[in-house]
Amino acid sequence: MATNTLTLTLGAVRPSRRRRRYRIPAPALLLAPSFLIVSVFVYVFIAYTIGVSLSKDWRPAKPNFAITSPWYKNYHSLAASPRFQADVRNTVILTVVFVVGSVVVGFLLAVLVHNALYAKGFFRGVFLLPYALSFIVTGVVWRWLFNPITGVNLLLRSSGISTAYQHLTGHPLQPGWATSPTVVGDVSGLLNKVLPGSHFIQAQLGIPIALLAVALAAGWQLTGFAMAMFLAGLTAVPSEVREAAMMDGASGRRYYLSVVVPMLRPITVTTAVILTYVSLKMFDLVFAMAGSGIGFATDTPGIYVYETMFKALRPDLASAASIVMLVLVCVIVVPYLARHSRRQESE
Amino acid sequence: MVRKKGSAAALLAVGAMLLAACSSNSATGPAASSTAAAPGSQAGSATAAAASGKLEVFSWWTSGSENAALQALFKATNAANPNVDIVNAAVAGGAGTNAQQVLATRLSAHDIPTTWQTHAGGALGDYVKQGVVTDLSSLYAANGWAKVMPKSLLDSLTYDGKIYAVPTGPERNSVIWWNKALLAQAGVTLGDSVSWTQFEAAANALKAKGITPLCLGDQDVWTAATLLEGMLVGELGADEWNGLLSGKAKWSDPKVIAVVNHFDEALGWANTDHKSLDWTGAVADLANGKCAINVMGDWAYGELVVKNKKVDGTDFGYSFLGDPSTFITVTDVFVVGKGTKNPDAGLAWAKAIMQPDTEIAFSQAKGSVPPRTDTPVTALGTYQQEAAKTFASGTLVPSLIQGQANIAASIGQAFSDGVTLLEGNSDAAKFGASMDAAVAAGASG
Repeated sequence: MATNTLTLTLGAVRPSRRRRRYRIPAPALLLAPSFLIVSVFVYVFIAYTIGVSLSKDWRPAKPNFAITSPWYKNYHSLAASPRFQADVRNTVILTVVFVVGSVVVGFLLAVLVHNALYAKGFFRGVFLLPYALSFIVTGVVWRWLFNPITGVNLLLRSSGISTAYQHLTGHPLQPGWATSPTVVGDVSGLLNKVLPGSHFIQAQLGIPIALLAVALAAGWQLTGFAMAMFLAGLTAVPSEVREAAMMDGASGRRYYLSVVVPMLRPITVTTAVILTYVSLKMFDLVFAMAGSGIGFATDTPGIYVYETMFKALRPDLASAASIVMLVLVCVIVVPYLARHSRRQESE
Repeated sequence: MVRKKGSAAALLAVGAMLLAACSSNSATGPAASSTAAAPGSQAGSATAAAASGKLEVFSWWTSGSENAALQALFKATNAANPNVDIVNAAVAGGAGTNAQQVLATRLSAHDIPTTWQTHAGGALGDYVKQGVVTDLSSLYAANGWAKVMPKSLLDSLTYDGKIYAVPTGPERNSVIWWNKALLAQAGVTLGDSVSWTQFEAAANALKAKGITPLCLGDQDVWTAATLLEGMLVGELGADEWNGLLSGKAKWSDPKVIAVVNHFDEALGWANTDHKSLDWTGAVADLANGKCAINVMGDWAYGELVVKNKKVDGTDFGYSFLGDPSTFITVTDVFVVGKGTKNPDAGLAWAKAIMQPDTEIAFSQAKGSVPPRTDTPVTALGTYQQEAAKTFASGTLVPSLIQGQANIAASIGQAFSDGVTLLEGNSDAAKFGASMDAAVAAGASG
């Protein structure tokens, strides 16, 4: 145990009992610079942003931290803003659809690639390739694909699916994709009846169709990443486990559901957490692909912060929104990290 | 167990790396912004002598015509001040939003550019409040500029009786552009002035012929807001519009709500792919005969003539909603930084911009009109000459969506957010209420 507590000696060279007092443990010394940098550039700035979010009249060249009255005024106007309400709704829906979709499809792809008889490397590369693109590129490509006139709708028309749909329902199948204004399953009306005071919520509480198109594009890009994670996990499953399962008469499906999935749980959690904060911070993909959308159907807190800060010139509101985003991320990440460190200690 | 622990650690490391990769949003810096101290010219009292040293010009003009216009300003400045070393610190994108981002950072570090571009109105007011722009009143007084500029334009540059900026080229917002052949096909003629009834009748006649009446490209919502702004000014008149901006008139007034409902009806006439087009796409659709009418600022003129090779009067024409002598102004202005290293160069820059020759050269490149009404405009195109006439003698009102009114920038954002919501819920009453709230909040903040 003594070997890994490396020590540096300062001061006296002569061996004596006093020497011990001048020993500074090397880990502390090595960690100090990064600790300092992180605390300034992360924690001090977070504190600064909190200060701005509570301020009345903070301006870049005139940093005035006088607090609004009441102190939560900016947070209150944020919560009351129909746009930010829609943003929070979008974040929740995008996160659920995108993370669940990517993890499930990623796992299935990993199983397929893992069991591929030939060209394993090729398929791995194909599915991982979108992950190498930037979100801006993905956004532009999917905007073209989802153009209501020239995109995949063209395919629907030329293949006759659209006309067949028209015979059945009376109107052609030409979805608006990312430009659709439809919000399905709106529960705001129901909520108004059940919950007094819910008139505060002005955003439609449903699933915007346009957001599903965004989730599809995001999923297209990051499913390959989920697959790579699971693939690594599958490779690490010892072959004895499979043999043992087969001996016990488990079918292929039973083996995956009852043995592999539970064994890969740590990987599933890690993947889901990483994808969740990609989703919580979503900006570039939506910005390039759909913008804020009709009725803020595809708006995200990131876009809100950007426009509030640099177009509306309201640094106070923008900072408040940033802090809300930070809290959202913390709600996901802190329990994960806590659990992780607990497990490491117990091992 | 050891093996499992190792792989978990490796996974965590990979995760951390990926996280870092995901979170690195590409931040674009200014093209050039070295902060070396400018030599010479500490003696600010140089009366007639030409300025020298570094002149850093911060703008968002990077596209072809914009850059040409900016170069015309550079040329004029260097002609009068050969020793000034101009540094072009333009930041592309977001109609100035990206530049705003870089500028805010620099201002907070008190690294103040010699001069920068901004909108007349709310954005300028924000800089005045922060105390980072120079009062140019004495420059205006010495050169008699105030006498040759329309009062409304001057007002948008004035805070507490002091003038803080020089205008470049005013442009006109919310002009109705129409495709001549399509209108003829539907038997529709539009005069100089178009009322809502005529607009609606024209759209219905076009629809009856199977023609898409409205060309819209509102991937960015400001283009739809441009239509609503034009309808509000056209139907309610200049006075009512000014009242709405200042808070004297109410957005929840039934008259205003009626116009907002008209706008909602007009959105139904648009091309189905309007949300995935930008304004240039909508203008191209008009030029190519895919749809008949587009409401856009007069920068669309250049797009029609230069890019789409259409002829004014033969291929397309233009009208105005309501009173044709009401001119909705959009003016980019330049301020001189206060506390900048070389203020003399900034003043020389402001002076050069305001010379009639510079204004003509600038307008030729940009398609705008000269802000000085005493500038002879015979060198400009037919449309520009007419616009210059209206600019000099008509009623000028500021554009809200382009941030030109002397009110908080947050009200302009509320207008654009309101239109985004309207497109989804068609709720004109809610729109009115939210605008009233925004105007009240903007006035108190």
